[in-house]
Amino acid sequence: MHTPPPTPPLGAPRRARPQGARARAALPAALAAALPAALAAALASCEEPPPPALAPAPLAPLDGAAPPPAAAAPVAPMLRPPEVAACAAGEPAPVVPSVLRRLTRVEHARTLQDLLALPAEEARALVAALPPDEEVLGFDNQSRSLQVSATHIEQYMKVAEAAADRAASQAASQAAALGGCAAPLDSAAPPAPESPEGEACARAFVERLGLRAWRRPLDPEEVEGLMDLFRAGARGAREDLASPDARLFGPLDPAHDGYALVAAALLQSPHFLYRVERGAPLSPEGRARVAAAGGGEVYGLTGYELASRLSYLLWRSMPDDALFAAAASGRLGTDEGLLAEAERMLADPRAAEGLWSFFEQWLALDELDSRAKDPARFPDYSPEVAALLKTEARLFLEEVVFVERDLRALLSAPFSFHNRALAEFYARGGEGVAPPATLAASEEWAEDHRAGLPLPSGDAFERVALNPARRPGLLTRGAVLALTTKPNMGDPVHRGLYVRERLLCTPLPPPPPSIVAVAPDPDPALTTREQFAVHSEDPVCAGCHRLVDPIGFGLERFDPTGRWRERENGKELDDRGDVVGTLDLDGPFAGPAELAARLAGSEQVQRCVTLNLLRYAHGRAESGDELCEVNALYEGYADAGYDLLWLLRAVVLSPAFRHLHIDEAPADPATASGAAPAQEGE
Amino acid sequence: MVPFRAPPVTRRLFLRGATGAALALPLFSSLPRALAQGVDQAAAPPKRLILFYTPNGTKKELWRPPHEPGALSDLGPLLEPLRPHLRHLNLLDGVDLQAGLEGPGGPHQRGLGSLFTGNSLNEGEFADGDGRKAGWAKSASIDQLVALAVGGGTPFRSLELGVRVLEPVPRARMCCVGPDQPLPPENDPRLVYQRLFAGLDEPPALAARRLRRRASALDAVLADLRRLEGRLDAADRAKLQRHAEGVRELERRLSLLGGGGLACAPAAPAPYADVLSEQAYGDVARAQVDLLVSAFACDQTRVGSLQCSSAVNALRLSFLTPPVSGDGHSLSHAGDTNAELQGEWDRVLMWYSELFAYLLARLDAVPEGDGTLLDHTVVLWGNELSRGNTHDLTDIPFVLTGGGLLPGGRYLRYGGVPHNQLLLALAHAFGIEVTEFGAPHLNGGALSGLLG
Repeated sequence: MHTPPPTPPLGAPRRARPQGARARAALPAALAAALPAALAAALASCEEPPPPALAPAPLAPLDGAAPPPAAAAPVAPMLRPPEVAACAAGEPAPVVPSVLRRLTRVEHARTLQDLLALPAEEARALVAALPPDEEVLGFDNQSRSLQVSATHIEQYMKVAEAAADRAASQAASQAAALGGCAAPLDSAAPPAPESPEGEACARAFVERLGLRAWRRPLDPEEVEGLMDLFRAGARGAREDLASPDARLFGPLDPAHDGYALVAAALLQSPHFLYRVERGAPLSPEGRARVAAAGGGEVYGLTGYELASRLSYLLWRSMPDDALFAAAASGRLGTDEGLLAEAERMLADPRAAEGLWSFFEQWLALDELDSRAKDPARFPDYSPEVAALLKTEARLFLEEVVFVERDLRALLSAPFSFHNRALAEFYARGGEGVAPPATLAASEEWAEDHRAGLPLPSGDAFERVALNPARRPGLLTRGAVLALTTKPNMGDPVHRGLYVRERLLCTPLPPPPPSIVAVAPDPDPALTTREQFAVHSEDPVCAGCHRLVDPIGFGLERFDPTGRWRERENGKELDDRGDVVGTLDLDGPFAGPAELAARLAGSEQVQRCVTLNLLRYAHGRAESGDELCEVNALYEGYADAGYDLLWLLRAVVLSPAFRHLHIDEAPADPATASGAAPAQEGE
Repeated sequence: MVPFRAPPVTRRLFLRGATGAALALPLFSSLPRALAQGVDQAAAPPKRLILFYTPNGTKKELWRPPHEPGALSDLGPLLEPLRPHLRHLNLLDGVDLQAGLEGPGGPHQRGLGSLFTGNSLNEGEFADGDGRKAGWAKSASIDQLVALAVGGGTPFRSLELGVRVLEPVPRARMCCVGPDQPLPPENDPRLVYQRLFAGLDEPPALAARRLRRRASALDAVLADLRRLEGRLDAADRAKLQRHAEGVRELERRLSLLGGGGLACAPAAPAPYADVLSEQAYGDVARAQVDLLVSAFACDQTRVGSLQCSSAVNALRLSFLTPPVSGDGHSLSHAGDTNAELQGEWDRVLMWYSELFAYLLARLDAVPEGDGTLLDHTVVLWGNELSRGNTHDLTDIPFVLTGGGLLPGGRYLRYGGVPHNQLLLALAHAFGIEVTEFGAPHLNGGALSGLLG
């Protein structure tokens, strides 16, 4: 039933592209492969090689010529798509080993929110005591790194108990809605749990909550186990009521006790806490289309497993009833069915919520909360302002993804979203800007924005047009500017690093071990650029710092809170910068507008977007076996005009998303004696 | 904001569960020690260990005693707050984090990763401040080895407390159960209090009811885990096995938390709007010290750790008067001649000394046998660096109390030995007969002369 399409029905590309360019002759894909080699050549004085994860193997020059001299190495030729035999059309798609994915804290909260119809704050409060999730490659959902400690397990129990109490209280209406119960449980005469009606209610509860909590139907053995638990809970309550200590327990309802025990077991079970995937055998035709990269076995996914992959990718939460229905019907086994569900889900408000999780982490916006500013220098910067800046960034991103549908706008679009408080914060300006008497009278506001537009008037955020020379794209939004600077001084290094790491996917090689990095002491008489001059004067520092500082210098007119300033420490500012060591955006530039235009036109940036989305979607780093697949996804994304929603749909249809690859180690005879794993069909 | 008040801690006999339903629990086979016998004041006092960590290095020139090694008779200016506890202290010179010089990662990662494990880090994807990458610790930390030996009879094998440990990354994890199994410290005193003391004073029948229900649910979880073993690769199977071990350990602990009128628990800490804020840092740190000491006094655990922030942090001690405006990591990197920033850094270091002194004083305020808890607790204070602005991993400023297992009142100088020898000597002090700890090639026996 997994029929790979000859042409994925993803909608017509927005931009015509010669068919030949789409042949699966991939560029040494993903940026990931090509770039570090390019960088290594360009960066003679960064002594250590780039991190292994981004540098699988140095690529041989395509034409067989000797590598050019390091210092003069032009990087552009490295981007030429090579003719690689493995990317030829018709070859089986390599599927790399799958990982067992644990719910993250965010997913746990969202799942409880949807499972029990809780308000979001309440669901977040339920999981607040869980340890934070480990972040790797910038994301909190990288499965191999997610831990399970004693603290996790104790907290899982407590979260489950609190949630179970809710579930039991809701049991009446849920069971009644299912029609399996003779009377609502909260009515005057609820069925005794021991009565046939009580058992029927319990069974309906077990099957309904079980399906939604474990995201698949329970098998009969599981249902019976949970029914035993229900009976034990009810019986225990009866005994407690009959005991001499009964008055200690207050009012006890045996049925409620039974339901709560079932729910507590369901909600701390590995079937709830992990996205357990058992897979299903592939048909011979399906088997011919995929190959297990690196040994092991490839399986298809059951409809329910695929439903969970979809919902956690697009919503960061459990499937809804419609998605469960699609899973049960087998519709997710076809491209059309899968795509239809993806479309439906992307149109749901939960998609914006889910995607924010991706953007917040990729762009490090989640770190803004921990970036306090020196209150002596920036008395009006507060956690409340940080929250406004974050809202601005979020609304901007949503507009770019869902309305503009062109991720190049992320880097260049001259519009944003302000409310009155945020507009006034920006209008107060930085050093050398006279604070206005009113927002309407603000020259800064007029300069920052296109003149003649109405000012935001209240708490609601409104779309505002900005001065494209000053405020193009995300890099010039307060959130990014504030999170990339230290509390009390400008920080071109970290702003430059941000661009390199987050937008270009090229983290710097670390300083050589021989260097003792002692930062220069801030000199109040100098501008930040002057203070960092040592980086370019000392050849030991210059090797790497020339890769970051000159990018950051382009944003020097923004102070650590993201506001425009005319001067720093009383001196004129210089926002000329330079980009080196990239594939397609090298060269000097002047100010934020030129930097933004450069980034918006860069293929390297969009390949970096692709890589990040894949890491987030699959919960793991890319593998060298996937170079052709990653490249094909990028090319389609480019053809679609850098529409991230297109890319998401393409990921959903990709073999990696629709298969399970387990390299099963030999079973441990000491522990493998138990029951056979639960089988489920499609 | 209500500051935490140190609650009075008095050691009282454990009476819980002497009668009543807790004894009749059918669900767990092992009878808790405290239930069975109470804590006997006449018996030999328990062996206990606390690991204490402060970040970003110190200044050894202000830390060293102003005299030659030998009997400790005076203290350097940075350790002045410890003067009341002179006879308990061992100050060590010349012990290096040699394991932290090896393996992947940046200096802060390697320093903290090796500090209590004596081992380098695994390869991984977590970036240090300078971009170098590493994974989790390669082997267990010393507290976990000691916990296995002395912690089994108490409800908590060990207790990991933190103060504003923000990031779940290797440079913020100092304790670990084994390879790639870091233990996250708990930052919130209210949650610590709930874990340790909630329900301890409720009627036994209520506690028994909850325990019965929890055990039923946890048994079902264990059955689910058992049925899951097929079709997993080795790493995922190991993760689920750790999950199952954790569930079993939780069942064991719950069986020891009986309820039944225990009057040992201190008052609950005050609620904070944000326990992770800079403003709350000092109050939270003292509250965590109080809880750790209370946990020891009530014999809820015998092994604990307190981790102040993490290696590399953007933490400003803004609650001091006047506020320290620079953040800890940046201050530790200030040039030696920058008097203003060095002055701020000194105040940060001094504050940490005062916090350590507070811990010792709290331990010393709880009578036990013919002495106090401090007489029966080994406390090891370490740092992932000796100096911030050079990222120096040698000559770490270790401070160690005797705790009845080794002498005190000494200033000891070594000639650049790997700190594995210190950790091995600690293991021996706790009667754990291992011949090496951490990276095998960095051993070479226990630190000579340490155990007296």
